[in-house]
Amino acid sequence: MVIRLDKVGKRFRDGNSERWVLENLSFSIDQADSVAIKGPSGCGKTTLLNLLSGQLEIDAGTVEVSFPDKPAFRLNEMNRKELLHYRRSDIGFVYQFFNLIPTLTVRENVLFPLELTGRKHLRKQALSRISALGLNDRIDSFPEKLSGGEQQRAAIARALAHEPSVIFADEPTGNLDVENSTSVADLLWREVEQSNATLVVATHSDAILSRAQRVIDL
Amino acid sequence: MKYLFLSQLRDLRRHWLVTLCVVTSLALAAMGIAVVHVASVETIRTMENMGIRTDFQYVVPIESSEESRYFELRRIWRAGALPTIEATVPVLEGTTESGGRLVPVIGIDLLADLGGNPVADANVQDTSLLTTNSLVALGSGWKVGDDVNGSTVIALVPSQNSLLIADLATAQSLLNRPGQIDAVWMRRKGADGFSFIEQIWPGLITGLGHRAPSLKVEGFSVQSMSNWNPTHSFSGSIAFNLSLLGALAILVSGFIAYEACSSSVRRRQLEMQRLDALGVSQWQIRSAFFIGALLIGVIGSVLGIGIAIAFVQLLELVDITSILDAVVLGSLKAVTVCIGTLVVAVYVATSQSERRIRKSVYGFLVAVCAGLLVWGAFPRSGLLGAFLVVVGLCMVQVLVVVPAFVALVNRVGSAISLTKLTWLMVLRQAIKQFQAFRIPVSAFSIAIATAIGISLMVSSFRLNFEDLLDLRLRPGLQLANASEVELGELRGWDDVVKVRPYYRTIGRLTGGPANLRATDLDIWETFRYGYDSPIEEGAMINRQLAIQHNLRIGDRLQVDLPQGRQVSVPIFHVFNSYGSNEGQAIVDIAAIDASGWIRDRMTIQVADGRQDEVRRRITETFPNVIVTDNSEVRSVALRVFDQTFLLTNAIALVAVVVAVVGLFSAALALHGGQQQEYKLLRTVGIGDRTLVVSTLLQSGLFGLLASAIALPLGLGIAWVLCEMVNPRAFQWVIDLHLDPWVVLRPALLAFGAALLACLVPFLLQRERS
Repeated sequence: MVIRLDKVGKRFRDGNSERWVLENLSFSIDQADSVAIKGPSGCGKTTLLNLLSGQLEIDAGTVEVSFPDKPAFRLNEMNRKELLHYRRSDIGFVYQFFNLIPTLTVRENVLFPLELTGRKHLRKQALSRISALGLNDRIDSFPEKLSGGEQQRAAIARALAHEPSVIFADEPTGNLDVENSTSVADLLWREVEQSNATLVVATHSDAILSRAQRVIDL
Repeated sequence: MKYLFLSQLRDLRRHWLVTLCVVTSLALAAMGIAVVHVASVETIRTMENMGIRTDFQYVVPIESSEESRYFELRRIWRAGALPTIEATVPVLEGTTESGGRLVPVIGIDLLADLGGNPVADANVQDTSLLTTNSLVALGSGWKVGDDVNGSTVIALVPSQNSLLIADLATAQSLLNRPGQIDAVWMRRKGADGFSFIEQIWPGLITGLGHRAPSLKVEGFSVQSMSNWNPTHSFSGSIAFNLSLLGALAILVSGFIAYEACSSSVRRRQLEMQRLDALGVSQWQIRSAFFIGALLIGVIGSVLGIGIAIAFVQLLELVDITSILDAVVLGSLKAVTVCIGTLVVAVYVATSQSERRIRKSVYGFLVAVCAGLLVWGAFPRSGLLGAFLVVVGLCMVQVLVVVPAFVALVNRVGSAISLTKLTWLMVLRQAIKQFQAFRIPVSAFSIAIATAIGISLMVSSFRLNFEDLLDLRLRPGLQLANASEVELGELRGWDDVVKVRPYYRTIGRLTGGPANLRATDLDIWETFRYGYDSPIEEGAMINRQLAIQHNLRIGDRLQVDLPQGRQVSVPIFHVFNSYGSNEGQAIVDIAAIDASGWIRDRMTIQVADGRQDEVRRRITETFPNVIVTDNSEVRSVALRVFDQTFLLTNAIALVAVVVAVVGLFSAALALHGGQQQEYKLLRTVGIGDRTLVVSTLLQSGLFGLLASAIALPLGLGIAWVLCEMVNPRAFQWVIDLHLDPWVVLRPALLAFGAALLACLVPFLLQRERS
């Protein structure tokens, strides 16, 4: 087991009223699992990913995380500094769009997490992953010069560069055409499998749902 | 359309912080415009009260003093040889003694032309009264019915200077110069037509009016009135200076308002495309934005006018009730400029051919500013040329320097490679921000450069002024109103080392009045005027007199005195004098006969440490004498100087504040658009502290670049103010002194302000997210 959710809830306030987006959510995700989260728009897929990646506070329940060579910890009991360290070291994230820092080139975007985590020994693998993702000729380009598909491939390379334990992806193909969607999904699965990471994807896409080992319907 | 307006209003409310910044920028801009307008009107009025008011532009000195020369000139005019001239009036000038004081007298042929001369201010109902030994008195100390050597005062005009105005015949009788005149004054046709422009931009016509186009009349020397009515041009020039600052404030505010409005329209580009797809016409979209801009413009400018009135009342700058018309006009001007800028901004930003409009306007503006710089460089372009050089420099800054600097920074920034990717990102973001802020940076750099330029000019001027005071006011006592003091008695006192009396009179030089002073021109005295070689005899003249009469060292100064006497001495020195641009000559007492001159001032050198004792004794012995210590005069003079330039500094500060608010507004919009980027950075594990530090570094770098770009323009403005504006306006020569601290102070202010203006929006956005 890598992540276990127990009666997790999240509410948002709008003026004086409050709305529970997620309530009593309980499930587990195992090591090297690939899990797809599906559901209608507004059901809380992105919120769930943000909770699990330590970007949002958990309002009810517990989220326990345990990695093979580390003692287990609960996200809902961590302070901001610990959550920052968790995001920096243990997870990688791929968004639907706006994945790359516009002022850094593809190479610099991919190497950036290594600088933050101090894992500079992974530089060679990170650069070879850029080649493997077919971005060799775009390595020194800035994000604005890349197509949507290229940006997503660079985002995958960046998310995996520091070899995190879990990759979260929020509609990674939502902004792409069918051909690019298939290609990006293939590459995402291939790279995640090779790095033995756990993959959690929020999606509507059949191409991704069919690749996932488990589908959680919200 | 209802929904379009509703969406516009909701957008203003949703982005309330940006709206607030635009409103604040506009309010400050409106305040600057209104305060400068009211202050200029008041300055001109105050200054004009110091002298006589005339609406004549030319003076034709009549060297022979023969009245027949006037008839000759009038014949030429009536024959149609001077089509631009509306009226010609013979004038006689001189001085008469009344109640122990010497009072200037002007005689004007009122039948030739009543309009535009100072008597018009006296509101004399029956002007025929003036032809019978009657006088109009200017200044204090007069009352109706006073007798002046057989003539009677029948009307009063408030003024700070004493002057008697009479019909020509009365003046000829009073001055004992029957059948004589000194000059003919001439008024241009249609000169009054410019009064509307003068009302809108006080100082513009007054400042330029004294430089009427040159006029040639066969057999006569036609000169500009400015040389003969210095206070008029002095007040006009000061007002013009204020108007220049007002123009710069308008320029800066205009850019800020323009950018704030444009960026808010650009931000909604996608929304406009959607509306376009829905079939909403460009006119309808534009109308909605116009309404929004109008709302902001009205609120901002009304707020600004309110602040301006409070500001003026609080500092007791002006009694508003006495110049309500100027307050109303200043307010209207502020509203028009603010709303006008917003309307243009909306029009350009919503125009589909925005890029093409910009390109053609850019080419036109570059050509205009090149023309301004070339034209202004010619001394003949006068004060207007000098001011247009400042405007041209500012335009060059906006159109050429800032874009070139941004491109350079971009190129240098791209070439820099840092191993630490976080710093590389910070550097690139700062450059990107600098590029995105081209227009606010331009406005900001103009405001800071104005502050630098004015500070440098004022500090250089102050330094020159202090040097002058150090020279002129050497240790000792000054005695004013000292006609009754017996020189022999004072010289006999133990502690008195030297008594130096000053004699004064008003003579005529080339048909115009000349202030003459006579004293013992030994090395002690001449050193006070910057001349330290021994002299035999002669005169020192100030630069104003030298320019007005084209006099040089070595020329002979020939001044006609009353009763047909004459002073004729060589000129050995030309000195600088500040405070007024009246011509002045100081003659060696040994070279002239000063009998009949007024001796009411003197300086006394006193034995060390005995000043208070001598002062007390003088006050006891001569109770009417006003005694001042030179050190007191020095501090008073410097205090007056500092007060004079206080308003200038205040207006420069307003321009800086407007620019900072503009920068703040732009930064707010930028940080608002960077939310996604911040989210991404947080996701990859960048902590809040790193984000704050990196924003601080970005803002610091940005502030540094913005200050750096203001420096050359600031130095340029200072140079133009010292070398072109002041010499052309006042014939004041100011040596530009580059005090590093004076340059750095506004630059540091700019740096700090830019830092805060960029950092605070980030912190606000962070708080909101």
